[in-house]
Amino acid sequence: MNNYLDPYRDTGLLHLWAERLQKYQGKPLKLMEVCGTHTMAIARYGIRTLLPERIRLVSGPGCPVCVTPSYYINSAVALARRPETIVATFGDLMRIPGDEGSLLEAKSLGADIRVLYSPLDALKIARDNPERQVVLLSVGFETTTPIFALAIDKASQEGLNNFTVLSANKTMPEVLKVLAGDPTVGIDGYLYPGHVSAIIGTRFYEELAEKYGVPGVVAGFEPLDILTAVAALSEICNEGRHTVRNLYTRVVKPEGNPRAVQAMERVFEPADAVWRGIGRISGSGLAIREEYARYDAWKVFDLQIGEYSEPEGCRCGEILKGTKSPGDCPLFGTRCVPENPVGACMVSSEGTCAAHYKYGGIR
Amino acid sequence: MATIGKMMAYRIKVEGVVQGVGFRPFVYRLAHELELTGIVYNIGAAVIIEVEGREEQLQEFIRRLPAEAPVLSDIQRLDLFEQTVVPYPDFQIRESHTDSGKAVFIAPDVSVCQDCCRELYDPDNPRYLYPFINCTNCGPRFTIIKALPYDRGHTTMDAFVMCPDCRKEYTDPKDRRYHAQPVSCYQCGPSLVLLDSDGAPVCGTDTVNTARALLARGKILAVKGIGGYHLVCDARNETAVEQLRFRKHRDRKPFALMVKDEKMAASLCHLSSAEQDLLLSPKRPIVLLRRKKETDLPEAIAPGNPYLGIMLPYTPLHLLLFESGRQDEFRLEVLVVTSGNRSDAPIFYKDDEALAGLKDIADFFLTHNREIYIRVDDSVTRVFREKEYLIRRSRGYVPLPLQCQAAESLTGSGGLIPEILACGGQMKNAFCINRGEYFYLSQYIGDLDEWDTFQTYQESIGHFQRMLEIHPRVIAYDLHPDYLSTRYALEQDIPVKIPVQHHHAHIAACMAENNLMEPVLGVAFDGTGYGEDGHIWGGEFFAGTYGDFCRKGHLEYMPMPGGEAAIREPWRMALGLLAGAGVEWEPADGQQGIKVEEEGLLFEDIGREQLAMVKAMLDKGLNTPLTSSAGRLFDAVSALLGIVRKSSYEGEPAIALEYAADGKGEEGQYAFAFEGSNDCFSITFRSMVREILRDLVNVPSGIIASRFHRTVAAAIGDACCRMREQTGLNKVVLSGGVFQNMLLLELTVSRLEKEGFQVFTHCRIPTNDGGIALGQALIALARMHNIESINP
Amino acid sequence: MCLAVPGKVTEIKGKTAIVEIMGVLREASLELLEDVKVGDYVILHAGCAIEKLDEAEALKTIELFKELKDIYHE
Repeated sequence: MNNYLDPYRDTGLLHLWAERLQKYQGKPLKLMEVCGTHTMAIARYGIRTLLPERIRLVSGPGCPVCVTPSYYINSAVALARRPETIVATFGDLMRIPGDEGSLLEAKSLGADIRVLYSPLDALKIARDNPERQVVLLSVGFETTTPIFALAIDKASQEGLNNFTVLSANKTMPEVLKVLAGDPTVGIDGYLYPGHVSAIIGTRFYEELAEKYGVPGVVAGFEPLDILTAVAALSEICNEGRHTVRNLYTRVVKPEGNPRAVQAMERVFEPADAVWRGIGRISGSGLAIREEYARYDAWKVFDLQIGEYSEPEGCRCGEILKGTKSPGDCPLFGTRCVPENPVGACMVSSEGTCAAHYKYGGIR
Repeated sequence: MATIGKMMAYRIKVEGVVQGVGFRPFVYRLAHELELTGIVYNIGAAVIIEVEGREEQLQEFIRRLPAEAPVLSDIQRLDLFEQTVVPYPDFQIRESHTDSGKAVFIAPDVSVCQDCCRELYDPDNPRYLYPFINCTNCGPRFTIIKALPYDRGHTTMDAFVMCPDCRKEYTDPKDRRYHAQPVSCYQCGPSLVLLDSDGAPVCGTDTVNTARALLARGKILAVKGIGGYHLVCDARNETAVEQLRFRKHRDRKPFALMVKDEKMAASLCHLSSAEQDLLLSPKRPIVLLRRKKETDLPEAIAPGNPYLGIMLPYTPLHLLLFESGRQDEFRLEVLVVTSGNRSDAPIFYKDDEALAGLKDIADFFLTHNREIYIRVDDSVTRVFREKEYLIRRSRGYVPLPLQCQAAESLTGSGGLIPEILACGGQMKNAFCINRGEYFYLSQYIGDLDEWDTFQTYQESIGHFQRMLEIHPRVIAYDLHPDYLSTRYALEQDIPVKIPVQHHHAHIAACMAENNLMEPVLGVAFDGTGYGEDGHIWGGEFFAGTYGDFCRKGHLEYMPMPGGEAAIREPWRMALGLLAGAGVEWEPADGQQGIKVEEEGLLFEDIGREQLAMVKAMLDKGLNTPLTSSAGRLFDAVSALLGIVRKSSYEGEPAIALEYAADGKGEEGQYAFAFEGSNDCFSITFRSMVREILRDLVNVPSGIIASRFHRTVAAAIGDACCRMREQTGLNKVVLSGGVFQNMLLLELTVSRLEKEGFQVFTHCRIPTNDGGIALGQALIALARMHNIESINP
Repeated sequence: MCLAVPGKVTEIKGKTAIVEIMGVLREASLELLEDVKVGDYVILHAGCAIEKLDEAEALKTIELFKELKDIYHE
């Protein structure tokens, strides 16, 4: 069906690159990927099985849903329970466990919760249901945020008054800095996310490389994309160069997508945010600007964050930091499984534990 | 005396078909009998029972709950949790305020039950001879529901205010009519009326007996049933039947029959135990049964047909027509009960439209004032190898969902199944909509090229979405650009649209029904379906699974001189067949027929000019699309044998060919050949054509027809063997309207089994286009999953 | 939700396109991109086209993949 993808999946070439990597004799490396789609692709294509012992590829906080503490789901469920609300969300938030159950459970008990593929669809729901309050759940990094910004902007232009967004959007640069500077995490190089980079461009990665000495390679999502990126990154790290290489040039430009960035900055401004497993990082989150306050569900419904906790035994935090892997968590595969998750990492479509469970084998 | 067990308490969650079926009153009665206390209530789509008492009684309760659950219920999951004793002072049915009405299950219409039947004929019962008697376990449901939650106010019974007696029964949990929304009686319920063909009332009382008298005297009545109007007459009255056929312009399509009871059915037809079960099921479908040779009924009922479509009475009114409870001299044992429509239009269900539309067909109207909210045709079914083989899925079956395991496996554990609207095809349309793994196939809608039918289609889609509170974000539809269902799909404001090839959908539907989740070999044989190469497909061989089917082979492309005309006039297909086989012919002397080489005269009923025109089309390839359709192949052979040259209804030539095949013990078959590459073979029948022409000289057409059937079955067998060699796959899935041909089905399945294949056929989902929507939905799901599994 | 596989633009109506990916037709907003034509390949995300695929760069990348093959075949 997709013949244009065939060159990126050429098994013959894949083996050649794997062989080349196996010959790596340089210093041991810990490379980190920070993108949920990379997490899944790497697991699905068994990339780690092609790497030598010396090169460790760990997953970082690439899953925006996984790094959002449970207060978010608690608030969403509370809103969903109100008879006048319609909660609109992407599918991957439905099964995330909260203190009062998941959104899926709330739906089975009668809450009006609708799964969408695009934030723009929520506008239609709001138009079609003027007597109801539509709350759109917004969790994501820079690939997704511009689209939510677009939705809010449109709502404002149309003058919709029954539409709000419950946002927990975050940005990558600050957390990359924090992890790069953390010796307990010990990252030698970053595999940069293909589509976040398509939006924000590569300038920031170069800063990171120069100032923090952590190089990186921007990679696409096909098997050859990832493998060649790992090979390139290993070379760069081994040679001690502080550079950034873009191997996803067919989609990522150095300046990114300025239009998307503008859309994002028009509606959102930087704010502090809490990352599960890492803690509060200033300027790493996004909040809806004052001019759009009437679309900010936190303000409109006067929601308090309140108490929230981590489930007992759950190791999501350390897994998100890359200091532990799913196998190290006592709950993995026993009490915590996709049908019955304890933590978000197991049930999010981009979660590290979910990937490991589905495709197996993380060293 | 049993030892006194200790006090315990359980919380039981029951899921499945447990709402609207009298489940809570059943729990109430059981708890009372066993002296247990507690509560029962609905929450979401489940029923929760909190029950306490002595351990022994509790165990008994838990044992009897699934064993004695109401007839209409279906427990799919029962979770038991021990909990602390409250204690409850008594047992109550709680009306929970969180009762959402987001039902998984909406009750189908159920035929009148034994208990109501007894009351109907009990002179001491207040509902003696009451034509609208029903209870919690029977009566109209789907056809009267306007909206959910299932409440009288949301049904068409909201026009009737319950009298105090009915209300007493309605509110007493111990009563069989507890919460039976359509409950009514002579005082407060709908009433019957008999009208003449101009709509004027005929008589005061004794409506039923007058109606019986009219039927007995050979009159045609339009009778309002559950899903629409029927046209009814005495089946034993030849004149009446012929009159009905004439007035309906119904040429040769068979009429359905309603008989008094199963004994009557058994006297007219052969009745196996599986067939009897279907006949007696609360769904009360029309069952196709083989008539006994000695059965003496007017030929006009089902001309040339060895089968009769028979159903038992399913409303109290029907029962009364057979047995009015009063002595009279009329004997009605077999009635023609056919759809109340004009030719192929959908059945009438609105009173004013029926009166206007049927006045030239019916002599009288037996009708009433309970509104039918949605039109629902009778279902038609039969038995194949002891299992049901549903032909038309409608009254009694709809809207029960199919719980599709395949859907769950396609989205993986932890995956969400999106809500999909699958639009179905153009002919015999039914659409499909799902929530999670529950897939709701709509009632039989019909042929969308009828304006009224297309209206019903659109209204029904809206109705299902509102009732089930489903908001699909994905829509699946047939590749055919001119299907009205396709046009509908493209116009919807739904962001994700997935076109699905017709025959892929057939195979996927059969796979889904059989819970198949791995790659299979698929054989899709039908009359017509838009092919990926722009030709008309219909004799297709695939390997693959929901997300990806690969066409491995097909029947050789045949010319269809005149396109659509070749469907109505299969003699054109036959001429095309001759041309393809290189058989020379020329017009016969005189005005009719052709001379075929040495074999002699054929098509004596077709005029010279027409024959010449078709010959020219074939020679020049003008207006002669190509098709690989198995249905058209059968049509062609039927026409060649002179069995049917001009079709009066869809599939008639092929059906007649099936009935003509009477070669019992016939072992012969004709030759066929494989051509084409390894990637895609085609099966040719050129030698077969010549062999048939030779046989025509001195072999009875019944034998030729048998041999032809065996040939096709053999071809399928060989084709599957070929595909198995290539792919290693051993499961074969059969689907498509041509597999309504029971002879072909039996021959094919036997042949495949002999070759060691595991064969899967349809059962509860029709093999004709009434089933493709389910396949479309699953293919859409698989494609979505393909994309998303590469990128979560 | 991030669709890594690019889709082909089959139709454009104002600021909305119909994008085809593996047999699925998706409506997508073009508001975050400039100058998209029918026949272009785009990266879709949450109902929006976020980037266009650069054919020339795509070919360069494929060449890079083959680099190793060439090295090994000298």
